Amino acid sequence: MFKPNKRNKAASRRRLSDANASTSTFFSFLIRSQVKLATLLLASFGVVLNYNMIIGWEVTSQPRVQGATSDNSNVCDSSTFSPPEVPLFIKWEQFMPKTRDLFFIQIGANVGKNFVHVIGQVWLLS
Amino acid sequence: MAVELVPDTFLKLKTNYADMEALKRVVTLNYGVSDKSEYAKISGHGEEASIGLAVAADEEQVERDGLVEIATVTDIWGRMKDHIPSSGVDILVLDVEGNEGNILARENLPFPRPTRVLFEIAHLSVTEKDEIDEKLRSQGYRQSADLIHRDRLGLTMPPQDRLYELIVD
Repeated sequence: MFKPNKRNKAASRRRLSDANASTSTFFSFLIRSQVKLATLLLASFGVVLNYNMIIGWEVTSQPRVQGATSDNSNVCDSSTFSPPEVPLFIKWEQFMPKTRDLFFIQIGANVGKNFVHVIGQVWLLS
Repeated sequence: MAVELVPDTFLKLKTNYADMEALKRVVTLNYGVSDKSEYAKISGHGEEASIGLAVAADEEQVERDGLVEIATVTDIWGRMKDHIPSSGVDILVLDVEGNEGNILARENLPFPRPTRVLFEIAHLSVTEKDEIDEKLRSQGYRQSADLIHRDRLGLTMPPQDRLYELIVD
């Protein structure tokens, strides 16, 4: 019967430890790859989602007030707002009558436009 | 007239309006609006900016510390009095991140009163909304609509804005 001496024992432990190391390296590689893949998938999903949000802001900002169009070429009625919808505050001017110049006071005017850049989950009005 | 508190946002506002033919005549003011006149130190950017009230001894300090003036609505009307046409103010639009109550529920709106008042209700409590309602009704306004933002996020949420109109006899 083989009885390992001290040297053999040490070598055996090293081999075992090497084997464990390669197994754990393999698993950690596998896990890292999966994490990377999941991150990639999430990032792609985020891009698509954010892209839709950007489009959403533009497309859905068409006015629905009778007689009004997005290019301001028509004149609204005196009852200008059509509940329950209005654009973001910064495009409210499209919903006002155009029979004469408007005098408005907008407090918290932000940047005055309605276009949004999305970086990660942060929306920046530009 | 467009009033914006946060300095870097205000600079963008100025540039954007200067680029838009229809809005070139808009007067832009770098002010905050509240129920009392004071100064504020703004740090951060955009809607994430934090506001700290400050005391200014003189104009030199305002310039040196980059302070922004906080004015009342009456102050704003006063600054614009030479620009307000005989037809009056067509609309007052407020989007001040929850501070609407301090502006609309405390004092009467100055003359000439705006024909319409549109303000954000998303950050207001029921009590604040009731206080504003009472104050505006006492000045001859009626609530005409609760409105939603026309963006994808807004469409999925309860109305974020409220519109009042001045009742004309």
